[in-house]
Amino acid sequence: MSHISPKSMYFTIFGCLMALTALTVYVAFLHLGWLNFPVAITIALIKASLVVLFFMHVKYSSQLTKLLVGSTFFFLASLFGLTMTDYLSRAWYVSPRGSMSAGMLPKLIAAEVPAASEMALANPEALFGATCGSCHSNQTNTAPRLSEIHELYANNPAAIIEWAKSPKRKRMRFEPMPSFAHLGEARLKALAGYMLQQAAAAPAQPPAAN
Amino acid sequence: MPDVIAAHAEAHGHGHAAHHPALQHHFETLEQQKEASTLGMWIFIIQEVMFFGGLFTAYMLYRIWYPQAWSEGSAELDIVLGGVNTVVLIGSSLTMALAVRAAQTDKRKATVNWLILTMLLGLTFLVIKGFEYEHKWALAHVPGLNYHQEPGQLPQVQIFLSLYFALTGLHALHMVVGFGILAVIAWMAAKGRFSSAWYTPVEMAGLYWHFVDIVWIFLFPLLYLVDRAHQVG
Repeated sequence: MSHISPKSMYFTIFGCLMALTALTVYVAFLHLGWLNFPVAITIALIKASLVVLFFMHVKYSSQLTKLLVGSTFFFLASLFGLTMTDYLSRAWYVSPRGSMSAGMLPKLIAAEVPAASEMALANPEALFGATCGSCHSNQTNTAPRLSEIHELYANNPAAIIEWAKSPKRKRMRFEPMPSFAHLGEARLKALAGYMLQQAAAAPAQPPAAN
Repeated sequence: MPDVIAAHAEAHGHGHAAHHPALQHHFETLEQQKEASTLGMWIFIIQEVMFFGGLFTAYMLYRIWYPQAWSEGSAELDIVLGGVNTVVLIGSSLTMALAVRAAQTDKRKATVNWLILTMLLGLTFLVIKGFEYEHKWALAHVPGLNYHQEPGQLPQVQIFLSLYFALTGLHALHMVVGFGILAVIAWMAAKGRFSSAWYTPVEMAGLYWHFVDIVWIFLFPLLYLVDRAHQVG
């Protein structure tokens, strides 16, 4: 009446699934930088495909069933794609490395610009431009401006460092600030000093509306 | 079998040709009926995928916003227990597939035995999951009910743990439902309701069980294996 797979096929697929499980654990402990996540997802997709095609018999099902199963990817891609185009583009800005979103910053800085750590202490202006400056300046409306930060923390740069390590959300209309703990104490201290100094030097700005 | 068919035709009290007792009247053939069941089951599974998809979307957004908290939260989970459960659950998918194959080849006893083994493996998974939850409770790492923030840990670890409990909790709920479905199917199989001509319910229960397995295939790396390379240094 319908396709009957040999038992050996089921054991082979099970063996492949076990091998891929071992592989995903092994790969998780390798230093692949930003690639760790896509590699883990790719392995999971291969495992899921094996289950769908062989355990769930889709390989031997009708064209209509195959089309239906394939449509799942379309629905999921719509869900992820449309949501992410919104969230990942809320704070577009143009940096010397091209445009990217604020949410991706900490990972990208850590992964792609190791040189930033050396230039940082000698040149806080460049570091500021590559990190905080993309959202916090006196011109932008993506985050509290430097003038507001100065009002709050003029005599307390340690609080800026604390906030940068473990940020909270100040206003719902701003994207939540990602943690910059990975920059390290010395660089955060240089940044806090630079920010307060810049804000003090600049003429007072009207505060961003709430 | 002819006896069954004759008894069935008699019970109908209307005079159409004798047919297989499982064939419903709005279908031409058992083949057509099975195709309809398969499509219906897959539509159900697709909406389940979208249901979990919403939670995965929330996971993605917060992971992008709070990568450090994700790293710290994932480090708390036990890779050994998660890994053993992955093996157990994929093993239960194998026994489920073999149960369907036994039904396809008219092996009634083997069908029941494979189904019972599948249920036992499912139960093993739930027991291990229970120990993991108990450990989290003892540490007071259950957001909303019993939570103590560890010194030096980011507050957003709570978001990771909330999603951990939501995703694994809903997955475990699906396993409990699957266990019940398999119990009914195993009972029906023991009563001799299935044969190589008609085993659609076994196959449909299998589709559900494999779907639950697939959800875990994604949950394991997304929850247990975040940023492990950087934690060991």
